Amino acid sequence: MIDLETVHDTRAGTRFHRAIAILLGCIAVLAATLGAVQLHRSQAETRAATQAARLTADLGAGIPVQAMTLAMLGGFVQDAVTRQLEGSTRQYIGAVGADEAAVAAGVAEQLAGERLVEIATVMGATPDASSGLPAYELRLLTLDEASMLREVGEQNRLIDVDVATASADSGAAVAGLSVLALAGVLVGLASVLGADRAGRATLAMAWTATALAGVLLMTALV
Amino acid sequence: MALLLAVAAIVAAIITLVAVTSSSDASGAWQSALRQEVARGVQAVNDLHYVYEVEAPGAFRVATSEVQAQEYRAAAASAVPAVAAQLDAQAQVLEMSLDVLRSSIEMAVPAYALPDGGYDTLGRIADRLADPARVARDPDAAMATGDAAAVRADRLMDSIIIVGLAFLFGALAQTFRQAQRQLLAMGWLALGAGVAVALMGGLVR
Repeated sequence: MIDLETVHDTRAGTRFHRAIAILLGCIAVLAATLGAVQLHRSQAETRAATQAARLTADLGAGIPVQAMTLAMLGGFVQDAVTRQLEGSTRQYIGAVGADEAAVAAGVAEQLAGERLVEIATVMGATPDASSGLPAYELRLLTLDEASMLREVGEQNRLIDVDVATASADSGAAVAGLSVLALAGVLVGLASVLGADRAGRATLAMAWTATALAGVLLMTALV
Repeated sequence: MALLLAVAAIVAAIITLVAVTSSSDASGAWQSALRQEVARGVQAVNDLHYVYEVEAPGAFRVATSEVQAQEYRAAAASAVPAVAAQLDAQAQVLEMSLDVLRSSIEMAVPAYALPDGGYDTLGRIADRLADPARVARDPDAAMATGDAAAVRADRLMDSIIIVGLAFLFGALAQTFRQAQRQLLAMGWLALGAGVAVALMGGLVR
C-alpha cells in the first residue's frame, strides 16, 4: 500500500513534500486501524453465524426429542384408558348376559387399566436434575415451548442483527482498505509527478481518497 | 529514518501474519464446535429415539401383560371356582405371552423394574448414555478455544495500529528536519510500544 521510496522522496522538505509525508503517515495508521477493525468485525460475523447455526442444530435435536417423549406418553395413556374402557364394556355385556366370568374379567381389565395409567405416567415422566442424565440430554428432554421460542428468538437476533451488523462493518472496512490502496497509489504518483499542477491534483485526490477511507472507518466503528 | 520505516514494516508484517493465523485458528475451532454440536444432537436423538420409540413401548407392553395377569389372578382368588378357573386360564395365557415378549426387549429386565409396575425409562436412558463406547463431544470447549484465538488475533491487530504510528512519525521525520530527532524518538517509542503490546497480546506463545 505504501511505497518506501515515496517516503524517501519527501526529504526535499517543501510544502508539497510535507503534505505527502503527512499523508503517507496517515495512510499507514488508517490502514492498520482498518485492518484491525476488519479482522475484528469479520471474526464477530463468523462467530455469530456459528452460534446461530449451533442454535439451529440444538433446536433440530430438541424438537424431535420433545415430540417423541410426548408421543410415547400419549400412546401409553391411550393404551391404559382403552384397557379401562374394554373392562367397563365387558362388565356391561357380562351383566346384560348374566355372565359372571365376563363381569369378573371386565373388573380385572378395568383395574389393570387404572394401574396402567399410573405406570404410563411414571414411565413417561419428565426427568429432573436427580435423574443422573448428562446435562445436554437432560436439557433436550426438559425443553418447554417457551425455552424453544427463546432459542428461536436468539437465533433470529444473531442472524438479523449480529451477523448483519458485523458483515456491514466488515464490508465498510474492506471498502476503506480498497480506497486507501488507491490513495497509496495516488500519493506515489504525486511524488513522481512532483509539485507541478498535475502532481498537486493527484495529491489532492490522494487526500480525498484517504478522507473517504477515514469516513468508511468511522462507519465501521459506529 | 529508513531503518525505523523498514523495521516498522517488518514488525507490522510479522504481527499481521501471526494475527491472521490466529484468526484462522479461531474460525477452525468455531467450525469444529458447530460440527460437534450437530454430531452431539444426532447422537442424542438416536439414543433417545431408540429408548422412547423402541424399547420403552415394548417394556410398556410387557408391563401391561404383567398387570393384567396380576389382576386376573387377584380376581380369581376371590371368585367362585367356575369363574376362577376361567380367570386363571386368562392369567396363564398372559403369563405365557410374557415369557416370549421379555426375551426380545432389553429394557424389560428386573434391573429396570419399578416397584409398582412398569420399567424405569430414565434409568435405561442413563445407562445407554453412560456407554463408554459413546463418543464424548464438547462443542462449548471448542467454542471457547476459538474465542481465545479470536481475542489473540484482535489484540495483535490492535498493536499494529501503534506500529502504524511509528511509520507516521518516521515519515514525518523525513520531511520535518527541525523536529527530526524528536519525531524519530517518538517513532522508535511507538514501535517499541507496539511490539510490547503485541507480545502481551500473545505474539509469541
